[in-house]
Amino acid sequence: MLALFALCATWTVSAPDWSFASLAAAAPALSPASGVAVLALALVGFGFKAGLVPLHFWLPPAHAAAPSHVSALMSGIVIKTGIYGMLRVLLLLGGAPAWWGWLVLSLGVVSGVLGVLWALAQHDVKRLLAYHSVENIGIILMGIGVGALGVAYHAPVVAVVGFSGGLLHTVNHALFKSLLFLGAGAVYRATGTRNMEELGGLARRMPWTWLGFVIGAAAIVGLPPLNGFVSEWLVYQGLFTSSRSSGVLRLALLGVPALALIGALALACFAKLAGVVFLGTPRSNAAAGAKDGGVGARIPALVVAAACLLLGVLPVLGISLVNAASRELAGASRLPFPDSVVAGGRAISLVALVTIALSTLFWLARRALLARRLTRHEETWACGYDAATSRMQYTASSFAAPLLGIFGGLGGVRVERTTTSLRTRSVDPVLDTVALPLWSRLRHSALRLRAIQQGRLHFYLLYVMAALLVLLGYLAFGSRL
Amino acid sequence: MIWPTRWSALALFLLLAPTIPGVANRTKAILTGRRGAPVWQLYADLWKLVRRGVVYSTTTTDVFRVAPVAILAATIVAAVLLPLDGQTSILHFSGDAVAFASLLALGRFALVLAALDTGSSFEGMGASREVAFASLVEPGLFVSLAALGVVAHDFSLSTMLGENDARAATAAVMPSLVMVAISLFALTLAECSRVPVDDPATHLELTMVHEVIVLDHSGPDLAAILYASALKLGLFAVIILNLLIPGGGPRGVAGLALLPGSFLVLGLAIGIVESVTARLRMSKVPLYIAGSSALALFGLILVLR
Repeated sequence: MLALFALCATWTVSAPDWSFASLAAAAPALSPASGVAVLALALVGFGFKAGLVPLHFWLPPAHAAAPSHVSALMSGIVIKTGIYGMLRVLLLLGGAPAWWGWLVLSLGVVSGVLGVLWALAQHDVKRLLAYHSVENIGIILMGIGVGALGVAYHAPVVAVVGFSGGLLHTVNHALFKSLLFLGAGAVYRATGTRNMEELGGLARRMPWTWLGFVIGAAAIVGLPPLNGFVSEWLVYQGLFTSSRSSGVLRLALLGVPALALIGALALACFAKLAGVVFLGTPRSNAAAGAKDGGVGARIPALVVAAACLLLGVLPVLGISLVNAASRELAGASRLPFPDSVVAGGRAISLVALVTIALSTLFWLARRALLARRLTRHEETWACGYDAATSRMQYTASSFAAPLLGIFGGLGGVRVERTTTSLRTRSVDPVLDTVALPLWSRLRHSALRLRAIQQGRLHFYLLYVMAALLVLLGYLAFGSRL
Repeated sequence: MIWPTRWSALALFLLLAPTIPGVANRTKAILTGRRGAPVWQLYADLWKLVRRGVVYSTTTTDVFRVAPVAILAATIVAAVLLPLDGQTSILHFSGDAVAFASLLALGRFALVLAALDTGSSFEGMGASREVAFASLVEPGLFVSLAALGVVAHDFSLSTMLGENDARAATAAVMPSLVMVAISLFALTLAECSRVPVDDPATHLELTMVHEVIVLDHSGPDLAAILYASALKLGLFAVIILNLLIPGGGPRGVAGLALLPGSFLVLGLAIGIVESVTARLRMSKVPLYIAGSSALALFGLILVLR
């Protein structure tokens, strides 16, 4: 908030009033120093709102604590106002210098990788989802960073593709994250716990919730034929096309392996979440007795799931949604939208439809094959041991342990092993090592001011009088000092 | 007259892919002084499985039944995106390389969920290892694809691997292409669960990665998964061999002959690697994959220059 006020203050020094129109008119008149200040403040202020690493630390606890449908709104819509703010500033300034684009792209990579790593270490369903918001903001920012770089290096196609990737991912994330939070909320209502290690086997008990959740999970991982794939494809396209220009811009191609890593880690994380919560056998009595919610709880999730599928099968819909805005942002309103993207969108429809059609065909073939065969139901294979219990299943911690052992060091996540137990502990470096100690020190020093706060009204009135006197004195004599 | 070639290349691909594990196992057998199974062993296995009934674990849900179908469909659609005849693919668009990788990821997601569906600790362990190694392979794969894209000036698999004038004059970038090819071969061994990352011949659940995930599948379901794994090997065989042929392979029937050729080469290479090296310790696998990816990254930096 403070950063945003400072932003407006810096800007309005040279504008007659606070309307967007006059701010845009004043943009060319900004001195280079205040231009830098405006961009940096926009990144800090709106980055805080969006949950950009290292300004994300408020987000996971807040989103996990809210009721689930509110979390859905918070993750889906509210943090996007930060993205909107950044883009608004960019639009009013008419582009940003290259350093801002590189900064946003790298912050996007950092947010994406660290967000998904922290998510892998969570055992609280909603906290895990909240950390994935950090990851997805990272992907969105990668798109915006590529867009800003395209503008800075006068490569309009790169700019349009980059911005449209970022914008479409903003829309898509709103859809699939709402879907996932609705699912998490249904699980919490049915079982009373958000701890993954106490859940399991819910797919049998809550088939509708499971259907919505698995569609949301496949969408957020970026798998065809769902919408997450389309926007990630666009961000990749932005990074790829940057390599076809000349000069430094080509280095943006190095964002490709980072995005691939983010995607693969997200797949691991959602395999863990969906697998541990919904599949296998229940790990507690609460999970064993869970039931689906009523029709009122099913319909919203299924509507959102259908939207995810629709935007995945018909990418052209989503692309036309962000078409005008991304061309405007790229400063290329008069240029046509890149043909390759539209053609790609159509081809992706074909890929999605053929995948669905082939799966259906094979499913029918399998049914026909098995129709007159013997189908037996037995225990899961456990090397001939037939008294396996749900406690012998792989836990969420064990599932994530190999990955966290490899990458955990990057994000301060540790795997703790003893002879009989294993758990992963996530230390959020920003929250636990910087923000909380800072806050406790601040509180400690603020305690010294306690002496002037006695709870007596007349003392407070006296303070007000004193402050007024000082201000009056400043007004009367300040100019002479 | 380009359509029939592409479709017949696809048919040939689907028909011959199961020979790759056969060639690999046969090579290994000969080099280690055994007689070994015939090259067409996998066909016999698949035929046997398709005619069998199935056993399902009582823990499993529909996920377990849908997964094999989805894996097979996704792998076949991925094959449609590759220029199997060395010229162009049946379906191509800018950025189809991303779709290719995502379809393989879709197969992996389905496989891993099916494994977790059984509630077995073995399969949970295998699934956990599978996603961990795949997370390492994915960036390397994309680095390789990016390097090929830079050389071809486009990011469609057809221009990266098929007929393309930009690739014709690739003598200068040949060293980086060779680096990418070596790196992709190393990553293929990891992605397709072969030695030194995983051993398809192991019989102990605790040491398995890919095998343990499919432990509870049986009958036609298992056949679909085994067939899809063979197809995946075929996909990488096509990529590795075609990227080394500047300007695209020969046209027509000669181009079709390239397909079995690439299968033979990859099968031989895998067989040789499996006879001369032992499997790595699990904890060394990240180093192996990171090292192979680094080679591709050098290749990318060389062509980006």
